Amino acid sequence: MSLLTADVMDWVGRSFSFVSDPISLSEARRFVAASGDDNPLYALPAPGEPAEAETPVPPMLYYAITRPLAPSDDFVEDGTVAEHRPLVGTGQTMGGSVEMEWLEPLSLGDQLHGTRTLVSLNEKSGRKRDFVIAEWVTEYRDRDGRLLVRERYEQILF
Amino acid sequence: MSKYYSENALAFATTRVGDRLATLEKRPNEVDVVRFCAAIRNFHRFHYDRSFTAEQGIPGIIVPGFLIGNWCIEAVSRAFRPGTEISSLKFRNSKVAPVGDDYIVLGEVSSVIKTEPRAVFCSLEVKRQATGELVTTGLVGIRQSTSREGN
Repeated sequence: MSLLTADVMDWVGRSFSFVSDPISLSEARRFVAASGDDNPLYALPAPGEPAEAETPVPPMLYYAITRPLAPSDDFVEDGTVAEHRPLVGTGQTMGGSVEMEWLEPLSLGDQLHGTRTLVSLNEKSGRKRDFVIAEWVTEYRDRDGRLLVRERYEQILF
Repeated sequence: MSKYYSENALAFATTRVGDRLATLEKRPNEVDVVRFCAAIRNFHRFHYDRSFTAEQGIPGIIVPGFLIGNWCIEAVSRAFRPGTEISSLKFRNSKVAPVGDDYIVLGEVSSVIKTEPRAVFCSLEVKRQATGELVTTGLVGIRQSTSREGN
């Protein structure tokens, strides 16, 4: 039986929008420390020191600050948040390929307004199981509507 | 120049297709994985729950794909002299990357856009050091820095 039921296919073309908190010094410091990449371009002020305006932050930080901080009830068995995706098979998910383009560097204080659209759903057969690849396209803009980041993400659903 | 950059770091203006990037070596442990997942708000059980990964037929805790993607960014950032910034990243994980293994990030300049705005793209491969098994392929784009004084 196909994983692509009518209810699942009904998701294709759906979009939703979200807004992040402004990128904080704390979020940036956490990312730099955890990534192990101490690039001097992203040198952050010492604790207690004021941050300069336009302080650049690691490009991948956009992803961190736009993931939902959801209550426990919104999580499914695999530890992911179930909102805003079609539930396929067991409801589990994992990441596939990702493409990111930064049209401008990100800085402390940037607040991202995202619009995510489900472009396609395709069923595949793997060695262990059948699965579905959901292709999402997301645009992230600043408060003034300038496009900062464009992302194409394959989400594996099974 | 900061010790962050590779010895014989490449120059953005003169680099050519085929120039090799300095190899980046990584050995992520469980603490590294949990810290990174916390930093990007990723709570997938793949990254901390051995019983869950065992049920999925996966040996041990898995290094998150976005951390490996960031290694690709780091390898390119270290390989070029100050004055560039990341403009794009594309990566695909072809195998799971268990915690506890050593990994190497290999790369080379794969294309140079000479018309303005100039751009350089580097192809990367992340491999398990012990076996040479490919776990991730990546493509990182860089451009002249537009922020502050550049890196």
